Amino acid sequence: MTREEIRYELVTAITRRRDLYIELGKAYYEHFSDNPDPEFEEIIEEIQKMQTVQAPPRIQIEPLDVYTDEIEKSIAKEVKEGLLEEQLLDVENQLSKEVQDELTKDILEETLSELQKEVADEYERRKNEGIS
Amino acid sequence: MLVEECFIRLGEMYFMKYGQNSNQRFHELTEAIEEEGLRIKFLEYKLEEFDKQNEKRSMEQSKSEDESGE
Repeated sequence: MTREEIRYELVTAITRRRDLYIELGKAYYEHFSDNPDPEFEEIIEEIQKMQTVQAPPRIQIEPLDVYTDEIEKSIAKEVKEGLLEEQLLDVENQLSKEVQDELTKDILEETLSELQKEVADEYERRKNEGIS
Repeated sequence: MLVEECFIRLGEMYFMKYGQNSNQRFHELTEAIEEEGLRIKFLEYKLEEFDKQNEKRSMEQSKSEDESGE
């Protein structure tokens, strides 16, 4: 056996003993933490403190029907909101089209009146010059 | 101190106080700890012997080199 092999076995044995101490400590804690040997009280209190700090928060699980009701309400709300949104979009589109039409009509009317005025002015000018 | 280290400390304290007179529930564990303890002692002894032998061998080697040099 080489020196390295002996060292490896030694480290393995130390690790194994450490794991066994953990197992023994846990087993004692599980069975006697309520009524421990007075000599172990201090270390048990230490573990209890740590476990209170380290314990993950408990998740409150509601009964399934509560979730189902909530989900149904939420879906109904979303559907309703979706429909209303669609209706609102339609109204917006309609209004926008009407405004656009109105604007186009105004512009056309304005242009027409300008053209009519130009034609009248031109007619008047030629008439005065004796061309027409 | 981590909670794991506390469990090791508790296990060590229990083993030192009760050892072979442990509660029936923990008997297997204390027995296994004892066995590992003996194995560790044996391996530490072997390692020590190995180092002593090496030291002795290197001393003898340097001695014979000195003698042959003279």
